[in-house]
Amino acid sequence: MNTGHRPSEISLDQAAAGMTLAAALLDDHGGVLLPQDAALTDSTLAALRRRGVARCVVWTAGEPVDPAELERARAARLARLDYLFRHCAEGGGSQLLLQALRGYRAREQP
Amino acid sequence: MNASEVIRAVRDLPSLPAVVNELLATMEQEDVDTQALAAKITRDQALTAKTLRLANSSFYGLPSKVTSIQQAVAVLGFHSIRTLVTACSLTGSFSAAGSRDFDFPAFWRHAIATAAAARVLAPHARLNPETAFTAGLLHDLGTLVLVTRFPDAYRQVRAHQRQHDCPSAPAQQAVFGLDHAAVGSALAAHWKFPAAIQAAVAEHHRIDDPGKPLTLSGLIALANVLAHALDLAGVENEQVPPLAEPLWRAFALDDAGWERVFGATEQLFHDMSQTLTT
Repeated sequence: MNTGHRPSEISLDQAAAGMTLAAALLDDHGGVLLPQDAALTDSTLAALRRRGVARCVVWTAGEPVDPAELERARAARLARLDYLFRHCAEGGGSQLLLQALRGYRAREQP
Repeated sequence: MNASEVIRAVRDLPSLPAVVNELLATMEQEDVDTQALAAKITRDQALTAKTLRLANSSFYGLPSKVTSIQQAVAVLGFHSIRTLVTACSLTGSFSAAGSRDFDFPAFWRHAIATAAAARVLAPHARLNPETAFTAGLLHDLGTLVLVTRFPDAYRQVRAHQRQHDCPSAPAQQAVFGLDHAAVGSALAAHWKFPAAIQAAVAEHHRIDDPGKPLTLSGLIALANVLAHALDLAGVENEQVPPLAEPLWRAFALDDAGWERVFGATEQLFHDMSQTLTT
C-alpha cells in the first residue's frame, strides 16, 4: 500500500507502464485479471487493451503526508471504534469483531 | 398508540410497483421468462436509467458500458439485475414528507451498508449473494413505516434514544409496543416478499439463537452489526449492537479474511450509495 497515494480512476489510454493498480481489474464474470497493487507493464497494458478493458484505478501521488498527522488520524480512528462499541463490553462476538476492526483501522491509509 | 394500530397502518400502505412484485416473486421460481421481465423493466425509464448506472459502477468492473436492460441481463445475469431494479424501486418508494427531522439519507446509507455486507458475506454462508443484498436492503423497512405513518410519535422514539443512548428497537418498543423488526415482518408479508427474506427482516435482532447461524436471518443479523461497526451511515452517535460469538465463529474467517470482507463491503457500499441515494 502506498502511503500518501490516492486511488484515481483513469481510462486505459492514460495508463502507463510503472503505474500501480489501486483496485483489482475483473473480467465479466468477476474473475481477477490483475490483482490490486499489481504494477502495470507494457505487455499487461497491451493484454488489457486486447480484452477491451476501458478503465482502471491506479494509485496517484497525493500531498506529502506528515507522519505526526498520520499518527493522530490513526489514533482518532481507534478512539472512534471504542466509542462505537461502547455498549458491547460483555458480548464475545462483539469483542472478536472489535479486535479484527482494530487491526483493519490501524493499517488503513487515509 | 398501540401495536394493532401500527399493523393496520402497514395494511394500508400502497402496493409495490407491479414489476417489482413480479421480480420478487421470481426469487422462488425455477423457470423465469427473463426477456419478458427485462422488457417490462424498460418501460419505467427512471428505473432503467438508475439500474444501468449501478450496473456500470466500478464494483461490477465491466470492461465496457452496458446501455440497455437486455444487455445488462446478458452481461451481469438476471439475478444481479433483479437485485438492482428492486433496490432502485424500494429506495424511491417512501416519501419523506411530514417527517422532516428524520435523517432519511442516513437511514438508506445504513440499509445499503447492510446490503453490501450481506452480499460480501453470502458466499461464506453458501447463500445467494443477490438474495442477501435484497434482504439487507429491506431489513429495517419497518422503521420507515413508523417514521412516515406516525411522525409525531416517532419524535418520542428519538427522544427516548437520546435520553437512554440506546438503539432504535428498545425505544420503538417503549413508544409503540413493538419494534421495526415486527413492523417490517408485517410489511414483508403484506408485500409478499419471499419467505426467507420475511424471516430475515423479522429476526435480524435475534442474536440468541446460535443453533442456526448460517441461515439468511443469521447472515442479515451479522451484516447489520458489520454495517454499524464500519460506521458507514455517517451518524455521530452510532453504536454497534451486541454480536453473539457463535454467529461470528460460524463464518470461520481468519484476520486476513475478515479484512477482505471489511474492504469489499466498504467498496460496494461506496459504489451503490452514490447511485441509490441520488
